[in-house]
Parts: sequence; structure tokens; C-alpha cells
Amino acid sequence: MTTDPALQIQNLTISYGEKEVVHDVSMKFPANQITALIGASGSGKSTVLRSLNRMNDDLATVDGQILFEGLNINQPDVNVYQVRQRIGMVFQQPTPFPLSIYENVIYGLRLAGEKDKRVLDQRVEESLKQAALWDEVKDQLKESAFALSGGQQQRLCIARTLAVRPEIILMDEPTSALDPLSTSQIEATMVDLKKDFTMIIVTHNMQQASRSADWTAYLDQGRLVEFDRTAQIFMNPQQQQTADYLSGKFG
Amino acid sequence: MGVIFDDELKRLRSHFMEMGIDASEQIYQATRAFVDHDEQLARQVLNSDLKINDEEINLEKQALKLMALQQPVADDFRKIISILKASTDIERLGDYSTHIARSAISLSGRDHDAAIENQIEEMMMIIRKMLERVMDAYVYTNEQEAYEVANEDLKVDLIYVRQQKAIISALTAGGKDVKAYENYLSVLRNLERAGDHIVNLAEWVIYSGSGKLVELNPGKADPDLVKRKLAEQ
Repeated sequence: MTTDPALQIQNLTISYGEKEVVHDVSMKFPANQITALIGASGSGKSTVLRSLNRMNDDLATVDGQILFEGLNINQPDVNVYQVRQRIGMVFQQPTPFPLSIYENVIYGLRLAGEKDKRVLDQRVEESLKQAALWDEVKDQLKESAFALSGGQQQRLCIARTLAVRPEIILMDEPTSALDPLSTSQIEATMVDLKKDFTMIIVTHNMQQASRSADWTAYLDQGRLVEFDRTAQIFMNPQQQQTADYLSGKFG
Repeated sequence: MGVIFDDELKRLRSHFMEMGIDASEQIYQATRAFVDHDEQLARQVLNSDLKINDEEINLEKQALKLMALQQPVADDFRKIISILKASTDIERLGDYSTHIARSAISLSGRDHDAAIENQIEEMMMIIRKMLERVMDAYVYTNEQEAYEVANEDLKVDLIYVRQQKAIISALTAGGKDVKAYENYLSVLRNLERAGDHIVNLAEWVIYSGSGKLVELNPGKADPDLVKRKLAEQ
């Protein structure tokens, strides 16, 4: 690994009740890069992703270490709200709140108690620009976020995540509800965001992983089968199982 | 396709152009070395062929990565494939330059035939012009230009056949430096083959533009064409 990891998991094992769904997964997520988690439904990729900012706390038992800036954040005494401020999440379906575009972007900041109008204005502009949405919405910031198209709503959700200035952005199938054009815009946005953020995405869309990710991890039935540079995974995977999955051959 | 693909394609194209320019320079320098009897220049050409070989390998790596990771379709797919295929033809042009440079070294100190050397120089000028035009056609996917370039190959073939006959008659008459003429034959052959590879490049321009796989070599499309043209003159 050429860059320092922004986040690292060690011996991560996750169970829903008695059923263990992720088995002893260890990975390092390089800083300022995009890492894609791929695998069939039920492979555990979303479960791993959601555990990274403690979103599985109420659903599952998560064992093992999640190391962020030298600290194991998988401990009961770690403040999960602070964790989620530093490690943000963008979901599969765009989830704008029934508020204006402006209020959507600063939602997290308001929760954190920020009141200075200048700070808020500046953060709205900065975040919308980073999410490549500013030019399209700068004259309608006071209008409802529901007036935006699906692709714009998803970029708004990215801006909302960026507004609290996280270090890491988790994306769970960020474009599966979007058309090819919006998908390509989000992918271009992701590549742009790399200079400032580390991204980890879960995707069913293998082209999306190959097009935009620097690193790709293939999971199967809760186990990490292979994790390498995307070019290596897609052009010359070391495991036959990875090759079979990528080319749609099973069994 | 997205911005990432467009940027990568732009990079691939500029490397491809660079390779074409280098090949054109190589052919020019090799042939110059041959007709000017400049052994030193010939040795320089031999040393720089490695550059074109490296360029081809890098271009292939870049194109294969683009194919595997960006998975282009339709015209984007054709653009990559045509560059990938054409880079092999350009690499061959580099090889012919090397052969010509070797002939230049082999010719040094032997008899010269100014008339044949003039024709070789003319052939090289036609080829160089063809190569420059076909690279231009690549940039703008100009199919009309590609067709015109392919037709120019007839001129190259005519010089080749005519000079080949002249050399054989001279050798049959006797009293000539056979080794020197062997070099002339070899260079003529190399330039003739270079012309064929430039026609291949033109075919890839057509594929890139319209998706049609065509045979543009005038001699292949009409095997008796060169013979008829010679009879006309």
C-alpha cells in the first residue's frame, strides 16, 4: 500500500443475533483514494460499510477493531455522533429533507450548533461546489430540495455530508437509483473529491468500481476474497473466485 | 462516458500522436542517412528505435487498462480499438526505419546509383506526407482524408515496381556492385511495406469513424492495377 490508511479494520466480525455474517475481515483504506467494496447480495459488503461509522450498533454485534487516527472507534465509550461527523455516509436513495436546498446542506452544521450566517453561507457554497451542484442551484437555494432531479438530489446529499467537513465519506450504492448521465456526474464528482476526502463505496455496479475506484475489495459470503488495486482486480485478479464473479460465472 | 474516460482518451491520443510523429521522423532520418551515405546518422536512427518500441508498449498498457476499467462502448470503443491496432502499424514503421538504417551502414563504401537514390528519396517524401496526413485524419476522424491517403499508396507501389525492374536489368547486364544493389532492393521493399502500413492506419480511421472494416490498399483491392498503370506510362 503506497499511502497511509485513513481507516483500518482488524479482525472485523459482525453477527445479527446468532448468525455471523462477516467473518474476520481485515483491511486498510488508503487516504485520498476511492475503495470499492463489491460482491453479490448477502456478501456482507454493506454490513461492513455501515459498521465503519457505527451504524450497525443497534442491529448487530460488531467485534474487532476499527482504527481511525490511531483510535479504535468500535468501543462503547466513543461518541458515535462525533464519529459520524468525521465519517459521513451517503445512502442508496437520495434522502433530501423536506426543507430548502440551503437548509438541507447546513442541516448537520445546525445540529452541531453553528449559527454564524457568514459561516453557513460560505459552507453552503463550498459544499455545493465540491458536489458539482452549485452552478445548477445557486439561484434557487431557498427553494425546496424536492424540486431537484434524482441525480441533483443525490449530489445535494453528498453536499450535505461534505458540509460538516468529514475526513471519510462512505457511500452505499450511491447511484443505483440514478440514470446513466447522473451516474456519470456522480462518478466524476467522486473522483474530484479524492483530493480532499477518502471514499469507500459499496456498489453492485462493477463498471462503477472499475471506472472510479483506485482499490477494489471483493467479498463473498462475509469473507474478504481479494483486495488490491482496481486495475489488478479487473485485469488480472489473483483468485479464480474473483475472476468468476467479475465475469459473471458462478459454480 | 464520463469525464474520467474523456481525459484518459485525450492522454492516449496525444501519446499516439507523439508516436506517429516519432515514426515519421525516423523514416525521414533513416532514408536521409541512406541517400546521403551518412553512416553516423544511420547509427543514431538505430539507437532511437527503442523509443518507438517503448512508446508502443506504454500505449498498449494504457489502452488495455482503459478497455478493462472504463469498458467503453460504441464510438468510444472504436476509438480505443483503432488506436490499439494502429499503434502496431506505427511500431512496424519504426522497424522499417531500422532496416533502412542498417542498409545505409551496409552501403557505405560501395558504389552508388544516383538515379535510384533519387527515386528512393521521392518515395520517402510521399510516405512521409501520407503518414502526416493520416495522423491528421486520426485527430479529426476525417474519413475522406483517410481514403485519399490510401490512394496515394499507388504512387509508392509504382516507384517500387519500376525501380525493382531497373535494378534487375542492371544486375543482369553485369559489371555492377551486387551488394550495393541488394541494399537498394531492400530499402525499396521497406518503403513499399511502410506505405502498406500507412494504408492500414487509414483503414483504422474509417473504423473509428463509421465502424466499417474496409480494405483500402489499392494493390490488394485490384491486383492488376499497378501493372495496368505501368503499361499506361
